[in-house]
Amino acid sequence: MSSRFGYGRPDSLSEALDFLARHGTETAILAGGTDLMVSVRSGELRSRYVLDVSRLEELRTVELSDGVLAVGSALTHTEIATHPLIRKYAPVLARASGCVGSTQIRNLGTLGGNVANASPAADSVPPLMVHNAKVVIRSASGERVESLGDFISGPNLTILKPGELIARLLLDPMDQNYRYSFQRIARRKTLAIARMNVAALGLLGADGMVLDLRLSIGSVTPRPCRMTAAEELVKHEKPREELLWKAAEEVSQEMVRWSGIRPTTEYKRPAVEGLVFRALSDIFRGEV
Amino acid sequence: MKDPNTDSVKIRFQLNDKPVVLEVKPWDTALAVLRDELGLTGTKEGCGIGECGACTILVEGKAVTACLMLAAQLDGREVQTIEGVAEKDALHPIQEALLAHGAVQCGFCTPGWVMSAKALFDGESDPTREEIVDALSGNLCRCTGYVQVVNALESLAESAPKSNAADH
Repeated sequence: MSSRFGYGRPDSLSEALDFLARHGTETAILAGGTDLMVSVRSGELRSRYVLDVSRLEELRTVELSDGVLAVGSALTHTEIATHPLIRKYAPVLARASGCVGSTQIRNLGTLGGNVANASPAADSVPPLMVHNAKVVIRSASGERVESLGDFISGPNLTILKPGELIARLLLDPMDQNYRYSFQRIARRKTLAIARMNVAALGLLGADGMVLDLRLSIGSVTPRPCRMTAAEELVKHEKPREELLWKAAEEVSQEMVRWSGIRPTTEYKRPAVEGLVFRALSDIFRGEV
Repeated sequence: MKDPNTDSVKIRFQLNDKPVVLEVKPWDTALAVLRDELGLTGTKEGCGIGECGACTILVEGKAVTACLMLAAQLDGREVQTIEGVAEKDALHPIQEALLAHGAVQCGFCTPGWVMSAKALFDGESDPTREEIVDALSGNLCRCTGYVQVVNALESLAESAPKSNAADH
């Protein structure tokens, strides 16, 4: 049987924060509803109120200033995928947002919801990690900023407290010399949750050496993370095929260090390696 | 902001170009209200969790799954359902094309296809086959009638060869 609750839609962010200050412990926040509505249908949602923040203009802006790309939490995946500033300065996020669910889901689901829901398979998380994303958290008593890696504390867990909501994500804008890749494996292309997803940003010098690499992998670790050992392996080297495979192996070893040997490891190890190799080849060798 | 009423919520919206005002339960889905309160049963419930697209409607011109929206979220919005697509006695060209190409088997998923296609063609009069497939990839058909659906819609693209599909 469906959950029961009262529905409120504030006219401004301050109204929303006032409401959350009073009722934070008994309120679920609705941004896109693509996850929340599933728990409404099953009756799992036990909140007294649902607060609809989807129309708050304060949560729906994209701004580039002082070298920071600030992306509003209530923007839908469709809006993220098509926004000119995001396509230019965070194209890997635009690309990943265009892979979420289906057209119908992308028209509802939001970036902030994807982050707050904290699914290990969230498609927006690896792109945000390679952009060194920070989460701007608002409450009636003020604002705090946490790195995304700290914000998501485990599968479907965050450090968001009652009374708080995600206002914006702060990204390092991508330098225009960088190249990017987003790769994903799922049962099928649309409407399937990612089995694994990889986001990478890389910069190749004029001499053909790798100047920078940022690599993050989703769905196979309990918390979002950057693959720093693999990044270091490739930096300051020529991106030869053998080196990229070595980096891919480093990632699969990192995965096993995080999550141990599981029944699925036999499948995941070569799959992760293939996916990472594909992302790195895409960036540094122009081949997939 | 006052504490919300936990029994009912009053909503006003434009439904197929006509204003609607009604009281709904705060937890009612848009799909349930369209079907059970307003009698518009053309919008179907397939999976109820946003995976099949049978309940696709247009909100502000965008295709969304009505099962994943609260009715309360329709407040103040422009909503179109399958019942608002045809003009009086004349079917919409999308509907005509689906008929002409035999793109309907059991028909349960068809309203969802029409709405997804309408959102596509309202924004782009000359989509490629790839764009059509992409725009429709959130709609599932258990009778596996995809090829006919895509062919039907491809015939509507501006640059498609103009022929009467019914002659085929």
